[in-house]
Amino acid sequence: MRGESLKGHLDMLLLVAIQGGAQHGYAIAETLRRASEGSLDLQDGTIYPALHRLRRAGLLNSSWAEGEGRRRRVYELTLAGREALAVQREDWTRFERGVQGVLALLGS
Amino acid sequence: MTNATPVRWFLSELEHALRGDVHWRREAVAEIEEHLLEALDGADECSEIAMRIVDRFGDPVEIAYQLNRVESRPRLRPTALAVSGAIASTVAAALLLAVLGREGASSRDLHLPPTTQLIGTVIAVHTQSTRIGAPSTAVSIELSRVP
Repeated sequence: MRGESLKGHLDMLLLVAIQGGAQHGYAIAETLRRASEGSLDLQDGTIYPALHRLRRAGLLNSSWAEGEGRRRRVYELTLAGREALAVQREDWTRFERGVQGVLALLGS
Repeated sequence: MTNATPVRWFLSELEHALRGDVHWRREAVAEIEEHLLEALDGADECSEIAMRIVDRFGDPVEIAYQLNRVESRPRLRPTALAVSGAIASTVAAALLLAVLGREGASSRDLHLPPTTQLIGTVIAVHTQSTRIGAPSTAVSIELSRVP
């Protein structure tokens, strides 16, 4: 998926990457790369403005954690973030089902 | 690019393009520096790998621009959004009630919450008393009708 197409879905991808527990930016980028098998054309730097935006919107909390000789900012979902993820996941499922329906009916 | 390593060049460009609070800028740079160093995983900062990592990260000026935009926006928490939404809808409903009240409709027929009815009645009475120059005691008479 190209960068422009990704923009509208980046929030959901970030929220879902963090839902398992607190993660720092590099781990989030790696999680997305691994889970998508490299099919998402995402520049690592683009996740930081999105993470900061989600934090300011109250969907993420962030704190600095120290370990392995490193100091990293980690992000975790808030309750509002979990609720937002559930809504976005539902919207995506509905959208995907609609597109699949059209492709199945008219695409061949 | 100067004679600095790709990583140092990137961080310098980022730092120069960031605006706003010094503490926030330092933390933003530190966070991204940590990302780049982790991606390097001990490789030489002058290596081909370092160049690829910086390329993959994106344009530092564009990232700084996006971060500046996020940071300069007023912070709106979900609770604040919910409260302002509730206030806006209550005021809107109250205004509607005030208008309908002037047309003779009863607030009880509309099944609106008591708070909305109260605000609507006050607005309606204030509007009427302003129009006909009635004394302010008219307000208390009208308010007594609110359950």
